[in-house]
Amino acid sequence: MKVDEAAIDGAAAPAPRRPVKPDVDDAVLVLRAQDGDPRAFEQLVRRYQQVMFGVAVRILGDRDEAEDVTQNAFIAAWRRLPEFRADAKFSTWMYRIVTNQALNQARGQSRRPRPADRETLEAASGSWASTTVDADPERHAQRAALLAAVRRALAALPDQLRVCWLLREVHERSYQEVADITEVSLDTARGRIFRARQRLAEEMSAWR
Amino acid sequence: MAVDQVDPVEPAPDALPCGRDPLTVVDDARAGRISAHSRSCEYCQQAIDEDRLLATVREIEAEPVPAPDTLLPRVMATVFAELRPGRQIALPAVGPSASVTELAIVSTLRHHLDELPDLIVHRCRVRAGEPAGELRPEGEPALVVELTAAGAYQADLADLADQVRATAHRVLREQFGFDDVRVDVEFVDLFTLADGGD
Repeated sequence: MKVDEAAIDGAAAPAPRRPVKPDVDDAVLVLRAQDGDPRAFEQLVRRYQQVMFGVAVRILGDRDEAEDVTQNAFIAAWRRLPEFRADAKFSTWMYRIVTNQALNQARGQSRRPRPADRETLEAASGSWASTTVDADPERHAQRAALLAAVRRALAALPDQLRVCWLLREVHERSYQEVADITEVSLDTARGRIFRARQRLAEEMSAWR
Repeated sequence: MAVDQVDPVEPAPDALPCGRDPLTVVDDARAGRISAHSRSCEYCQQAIDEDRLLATVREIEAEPVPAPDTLLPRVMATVFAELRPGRQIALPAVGPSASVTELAIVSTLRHHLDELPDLIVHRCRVRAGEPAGELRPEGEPALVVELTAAGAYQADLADLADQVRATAHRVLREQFGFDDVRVDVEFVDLFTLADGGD
């Protein structure tokens, strides 16, 4: 017979490790939301609100506009859920809706969409200042100049190059996903990313 | 609307003069896979050096930008305002003077079924049969629940289906007064239970 040593010692036996269910994946949440379950859709919004807001704020450069666009994009997704195909990826679909709406918003205001400036990102994240303030004034000035250079370099990119670069380099989408989100061929998406990198490298060459 | 019109003549990246694809060279270098060729090739090295220069740009742009606290409530306010609650189903104990929506029944079922440790509910639908009497075919229940779900690999699916039916019958009886119910369960996927720790 096996002796329970913990019981003899009077110590509590360790609790058995309890298996838990994995997080419900996006595809299942979409099925539930398609059946009208608002809590399932809420979970999807919670999962993707930060990344989608990040796309919008980087395209529009204005956090109030970005919030409106992100809100409208999620509501559009909710309304169009019945059209969503089971073989598609929810994240790719959301990226596409947000990207299109952000660019439409920018075009509708007859101005070029611009990369978010540091003040916008700082206001949006609340973290920028704490990560970048440098006690050394010279280094701080150098950093500020670098940020300005990055802003100028991104602003100089045509929309289609900048969006493809953003999706690949900041949001780490695969080349195929970039093509799917922007609704161009894989070759076109790869070409745009390449040309965006070339132009950015030229713009930033002084910082080499 | 597409982000941009597809330009059929828009070129793919040109190969480097050494014949290598520049995106692949850079991706490999970022992953720490620099081939013997790339180590000694000036064109590959130039592509890799340019990419290193852009690391700062990526780093700056990739700083996380948290969503505003107001975003989720604003989205969900609209979602709740536009809910499609489904048909009204008469409560059996009261008759047509009191009813409940399909969505309310489904939400309640999901809430309780989600507590079963070996089950992840996918779809859950309910439909009411004809009112009791001449219109309802013999053997046809007052309420049918159609459920698709994933079961844990470790679970006995027949037992799990019994647990699902027992839970659904109990909830429907206790909360809505439905006794005459059929619950159809279809397992469409399996999942592995994760280690929950101590």
